[in-house]
Amino acid sequence: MDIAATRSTRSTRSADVRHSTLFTFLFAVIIVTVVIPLCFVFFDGLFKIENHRLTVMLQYFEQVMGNRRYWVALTNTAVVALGATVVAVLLGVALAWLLVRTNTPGAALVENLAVIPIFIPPFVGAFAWILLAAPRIGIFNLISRMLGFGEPVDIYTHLGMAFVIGIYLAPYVLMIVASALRSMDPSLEEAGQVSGMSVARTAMTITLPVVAPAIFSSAILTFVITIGLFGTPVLLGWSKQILLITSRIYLEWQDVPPAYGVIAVLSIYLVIFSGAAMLLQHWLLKGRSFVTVTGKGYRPRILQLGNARFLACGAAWTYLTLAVFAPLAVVVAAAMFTYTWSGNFTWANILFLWTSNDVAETLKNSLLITVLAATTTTTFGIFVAWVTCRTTLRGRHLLEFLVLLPASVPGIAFGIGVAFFWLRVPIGIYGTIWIIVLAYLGRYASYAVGTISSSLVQVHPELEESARICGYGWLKTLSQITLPLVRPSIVSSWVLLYSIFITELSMVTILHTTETRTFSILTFNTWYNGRFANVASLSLLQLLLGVAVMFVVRASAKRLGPGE
Amino acid sequence: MSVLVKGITKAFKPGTNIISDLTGEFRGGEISVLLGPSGCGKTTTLRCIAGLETPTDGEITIDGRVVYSSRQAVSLPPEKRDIGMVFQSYAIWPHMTVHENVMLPLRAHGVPRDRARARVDDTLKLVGLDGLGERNATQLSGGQQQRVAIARCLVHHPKVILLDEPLSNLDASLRISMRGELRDLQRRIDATMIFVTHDQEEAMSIADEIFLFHAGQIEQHDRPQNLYMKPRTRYVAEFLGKANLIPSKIRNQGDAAELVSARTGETIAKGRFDTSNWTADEGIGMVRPEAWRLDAGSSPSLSGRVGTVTFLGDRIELQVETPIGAQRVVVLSPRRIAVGDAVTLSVSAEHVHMIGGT
Ligand SMILES: Nc1ncnc2c1ncn2[C@@H]1O[C@H](COP(=O)(O)OP(=O)(O)OP(=O)(O)O)[C@@H](O)[C@H]1O
Ligand SMILES: [Mg+2]
Repeated sequence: MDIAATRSTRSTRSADVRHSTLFTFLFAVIIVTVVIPLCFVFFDGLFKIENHRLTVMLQYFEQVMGNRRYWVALTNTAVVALGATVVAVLLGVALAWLLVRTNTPGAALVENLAVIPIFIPPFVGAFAWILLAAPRIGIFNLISRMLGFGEPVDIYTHLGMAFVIGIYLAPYVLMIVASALRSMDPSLEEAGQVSGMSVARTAMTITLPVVAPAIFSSAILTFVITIGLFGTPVLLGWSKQILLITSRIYLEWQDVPPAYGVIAVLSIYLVIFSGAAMLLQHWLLKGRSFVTVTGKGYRPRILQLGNARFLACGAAWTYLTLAVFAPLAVVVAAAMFTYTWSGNFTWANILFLWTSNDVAETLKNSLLITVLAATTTTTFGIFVAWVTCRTTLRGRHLLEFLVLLPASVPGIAFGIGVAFFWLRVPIGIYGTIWIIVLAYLGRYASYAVGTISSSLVQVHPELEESARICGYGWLKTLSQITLPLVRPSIVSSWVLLYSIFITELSMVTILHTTETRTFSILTFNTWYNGRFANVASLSLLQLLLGVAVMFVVRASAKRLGPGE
Repeated sequence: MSVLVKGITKAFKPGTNIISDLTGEFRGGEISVLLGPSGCGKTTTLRCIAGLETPTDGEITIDGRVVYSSRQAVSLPPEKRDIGMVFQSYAIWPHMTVHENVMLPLRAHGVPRDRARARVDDTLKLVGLDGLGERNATQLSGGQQQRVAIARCLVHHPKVILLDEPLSNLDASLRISMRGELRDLQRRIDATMIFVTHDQEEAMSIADEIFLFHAGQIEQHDRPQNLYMKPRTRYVAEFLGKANLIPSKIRNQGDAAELVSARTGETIAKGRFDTSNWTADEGIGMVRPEAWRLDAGSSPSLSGRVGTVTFLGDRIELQVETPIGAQRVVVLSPRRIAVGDAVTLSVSAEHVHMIGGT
């Protein structure tokens, strides 16, 4: 009896030791990939080491504050981000309501197709919209000019940017609001009507306030994403020099030597901007989540639209056309001409993908980085998810918080931090693909942790405990019991990261060198040099690598696993 | 203030009627309970009355006003029907306080704010929630939320109050005390209530009249006691309480008639029997478990042997094997009975109820 007791205490203790070793390791990874890079952003903007003493230095802040062009960048960022948020929220809420709460024909199909815009790389979306609506070369303007109406649209404006960003972010709003509408108890509205309110008044007094927190969160999400966007604002803002903070950072980074202090301050702007938005959300929504996810499936009340339902259907497909079909078509078409809309058909741009050394080289880099980073990040995510869901170790909440932190830090600012850090550490990380892998890991670990732990919390701990009682060690339990049970979430985490990394531009823009150029950088540079026909074919390949691969893996994962 | 439902039919998909040709009158100032097994169309009927579903056919009248009629093409929306409704989930609006929740129906009906405020306070007092008005409605306990829902539906004095399983989300003891409160409240304000439940005990304790549903129609409706004592069909007898159903025949007529088992010919009881439910000269004799007496010496009687004994505290339930089949018997007196004991069963003629069919 006694012996058994001591033995069991000892083995529990050694398990604890193993857990804390793992925990320490995970913490170290987070310190290196997240905490130090973020510190460096602030450090370089605010501090200086003089004679071995740390001194606060406001010189760069003064420099940025005193210069009009940075104020313009700040205003542009605010205007475009607000505009994009308004567009995305209006579109997303309207679509969600039409698809979930009315008898719009083919709603399920539209809802499935409406996630596609999320997976179209921002660069590609923006490029397609240049082909559609830029002055002189945009299809809309070409046609309208031919018909004698002049040039009605110009995508190279604040409004154009807000519109393009908005339509590509609308699906986030759609998904969040649709799920809120679905999990809202329909009798809340019925009670409103029975109490004597008309359908319209019920919608305003009951439905809207109840889903308002969801709408608000999705608005904040859109806003934060827009602030950090790099590809779209640069592509659409370049021609009229409407520069946002991200574009400014990029420009400063191109200077030789770069003004590190100014870049750091601009990055701090970005962090403060999105941090403020997140705080606002936290503060306003405290305790106001009305839609409780009870897991109870409600049958939503469907409003019978009559003939207006065809109008609704038309509106939904118009959205899909603007965000998916037209951009796709126009990119394909552009890739088939010798130069933009020359009318001379050619295979040259497609063949270029095969023959170009640049393409082969950058593609190799991209795939290598993506596979390495997606695998490392997912593995890291598994362990962090396990530690936070399954152990009671002190500090696991801090770990969770630190993992989540960079999710709201704009990519380009995070990349700046990573660059600053590894510039100072002369162990040969800077300038290799590893710096990119580490940056991806730090910035996107929360995606892996989120996906995997949401599935892990559904696996009852008793399933693991019974394996332990049967004599499995914790590592064996993890690999034999837990991981197989959450396998679908591991697959979807990997695929999600793959699709982000393969076309990532904001961070590699900062972190790449000539040897470690990725495919997205090649595409970007090709655009910068004005070779639009080649950009079109490169964009097609980006879509193929990102969207298509993701759909294939998803479809096969659905067949393999027991679902997400 | 009665509710009249005439020939209501409802199909969600063509060809599959959830309720078909349902007719009934729910009397004013009473609690009418719609009772039946799951999926028999109680909620659908209630929602048709509320206007939350539109019937395929028929007519609904509330307090003499036609609110739905397929023939006259009338279909008032819920907000025009002047009803109150308590939902199974309570449907408390989570973004409003208790006071705002209860206030809203008055605002919707255009009652001026100061008058409305006084009415809300009165109603909250009535349901025992005074002082909780400024609470956020979702921070209340289940029982309190229930009261908010009731207050909200009472506040503008609707003609009819509809309740869909209002007590089913409460725990057992609260459910029983809320039953009593609801009953008292209804008496005090003299309201017309239509109450849906699938709990027969709840139905019998709260109802003035029970409407027993069977596959989308009303099988029988009556005062609870009548329904229990004098079910018209086998379905009703079996749904309410427990019943011994004995296929039987009547021998002789008048005061000395004999009820005999149709299968074995044993005499079960003697006296005057009401066979008006019987369509043929054979039918079912229903004996409730508590109607059987165990004393020896009465005649006629059945000899039997105790098969199982279940002790339930205040009473004992027996399964007694007799020549006419196993009988369920309930005895209240504290007596010692063991499996295998020989007993005699007898029942007086007035406690045998005759049902048609076999
Ligand atoms: N909106 C709807 N669309 C299709 N079928 C429905 C709908 N509402 C109810 N039904 C079906 O109608 C039938 C009767 O439902 P109803 O809710 O009236 O039953 P109920 O008697 O209230 O049962 P319960 O005691 O389980 O609440 C069920 O088979 C149900 O599936
Ligand atoms: Mg029901």
